Amino acid sequence: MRANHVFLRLALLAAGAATAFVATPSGVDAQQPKPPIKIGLLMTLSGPGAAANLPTLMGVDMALQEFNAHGGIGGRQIELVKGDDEANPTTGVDEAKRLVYQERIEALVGPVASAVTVAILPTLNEAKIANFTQSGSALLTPENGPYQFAVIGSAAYSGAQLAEYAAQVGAKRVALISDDSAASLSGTQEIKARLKAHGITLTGVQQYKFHPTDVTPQLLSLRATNPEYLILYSASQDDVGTVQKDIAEIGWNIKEIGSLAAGLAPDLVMQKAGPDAYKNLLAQVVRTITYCPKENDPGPANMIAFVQHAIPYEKAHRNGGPPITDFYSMANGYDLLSAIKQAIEANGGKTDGPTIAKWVIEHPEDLKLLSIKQTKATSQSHFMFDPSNFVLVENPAQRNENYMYKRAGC
Amino acid sequence: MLVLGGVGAVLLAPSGASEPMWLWFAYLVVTTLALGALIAVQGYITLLPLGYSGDSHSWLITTMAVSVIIGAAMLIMLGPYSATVSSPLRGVMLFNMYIPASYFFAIVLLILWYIALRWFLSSTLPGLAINALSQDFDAARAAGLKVRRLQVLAFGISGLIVGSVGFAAAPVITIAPEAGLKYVIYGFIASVIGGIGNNTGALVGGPIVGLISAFATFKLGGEFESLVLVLVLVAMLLIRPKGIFGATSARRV
Repeated sequence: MRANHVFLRLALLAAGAATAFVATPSGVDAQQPKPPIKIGLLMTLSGPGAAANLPTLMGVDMALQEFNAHGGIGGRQIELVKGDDEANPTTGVDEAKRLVYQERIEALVGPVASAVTVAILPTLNEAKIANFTQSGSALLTPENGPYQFAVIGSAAYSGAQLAEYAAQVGAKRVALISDDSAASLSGTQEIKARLKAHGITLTGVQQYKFHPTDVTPQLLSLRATNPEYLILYSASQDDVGTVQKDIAEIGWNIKEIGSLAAGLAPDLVMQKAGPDAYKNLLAQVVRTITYCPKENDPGPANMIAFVQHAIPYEKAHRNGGPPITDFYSMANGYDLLSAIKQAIEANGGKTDGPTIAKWVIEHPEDLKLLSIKQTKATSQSHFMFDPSNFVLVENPAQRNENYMYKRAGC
Repeated sequence: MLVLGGVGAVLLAPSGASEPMWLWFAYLVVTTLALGALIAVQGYITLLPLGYSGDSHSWLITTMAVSVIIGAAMLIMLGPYSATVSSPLRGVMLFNMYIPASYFFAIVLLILWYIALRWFLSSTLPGLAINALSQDFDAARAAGLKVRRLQVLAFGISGLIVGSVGFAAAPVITIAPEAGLKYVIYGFIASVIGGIGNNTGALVGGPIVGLISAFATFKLGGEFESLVLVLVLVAMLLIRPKGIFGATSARRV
């Protein structure tokens, strides 16, 4: 009986194959749908930093659905192949090699963790894979990664702004606390250099690991140095929440200046540290997600439209997790895939790294992105932001109906 | 498993302050019993392939492996988020600092479990049998003790301890999929320093590791925390491999 079933299946398969063969006339390749284009996505899907990557991931998925519904990239449907770097450079290199040599991807989006991004450069360079990333380490230079572009600004720019603000408000004594990520290392190096240049005393420097349980010893150590301001450079919103909770617990009333992670997802910070998390914390965000009533600037129209489109999408794809309101990172994730699409289509479907890199540098005005008003990548720097893209906000918890932040001084 | 105790608090009493105290205690008991049962099952599965060999090192590997499995399960079920729980009681101000009540709960549980274990291991028949098993596996087996049952009981007791502490300390520990391995490593350092297999060693080893880690961070910086702890571990293994309370004993043959 079973043998009969097997035979029947084989017979049907053979008949199907024969029909297909007869029905397909020769020389009709032009009528065939184009093969899909495999794009790799390498991000932290588990381990420290995975929660912070979710908005970016959601933005990439949004772009994927939208682009595929409208013909993909140059008529080729996008097949997104995901890899998990676990925020670990060794795992990241293994995953990058799998994506490049086994999955045969033609371009890569991500990673976010700078240590991973730096580690995978040799693999991408060897295979000439174009890569759009969200990493900010200053080690990501055109020499190290000729086909890699960061759809954000360097962590050094971000650090510079925090230090310049301290100088602007006349701070004389500043303490610094950060996590141990590669991007934070770049940011804090710049902060130290700028503070020194302004003659500001750096009273103490402390570090913690990603997802710390308790940073009280670090904070007590810094409090003992009696600073006027505390600069907090963190790559994770969870960690900003832990630092704010511990600052409150030790009863330290210190004025704080926080990096991008402190500003972009205030809900996550307040979930851990409570509603007073931003009592003394001025935080950094990106200009394209801000408005200024004083300057009659409601914020970029394309970003507002994106946020309104993303709100229902986020609700539908939350998967039982807490609400994601970091629409900037979501737009930035959308831009990662959008940049690849625009670059490949502008080059007649060519996907090789050298062609993509040349086009991005030579045609900045043609690359239209949501999270950046005008890309600034050059042959000297592959960061698409310049320092002016970073702005400070007084209370990130208060956003308008479009999830736009009011810029400080507005 | 400590993190799983915390997950119990996330699922049953996430906003501790709004719960009546008796209900919070009831949830504590439920989580404790659930973790006790879970670890007893884990112990049974772990011991099954070993037969009746006296290999006492496999628990280290399986503890790490289970920690990885639990982390992966949490990632699938709860996502990569770090969960937060509030305490049922307000903390107190001490030395001008707010100390969350959960730290006191953890210390009280530490002392209570230490006393209970001491009594159990020295005054009850199953406790004495477990003691005998830990001292000489083969002799205990030859004497007719139900080795597998006692081993599973020991696993279950460890589940009760870690489940109750995880639940009570949930507001001050990291409840995230990747957090488990960190606690396993720090717990291992504390056990080695105190003396593996010695309850007084565990009672003293934990606070020693905590104090050294906090002091190293305060004086040298957060980046040196792990380095200092590992150096202390290496020094202990070189100078006193059995730990502070571990006694070198000759095996009678």
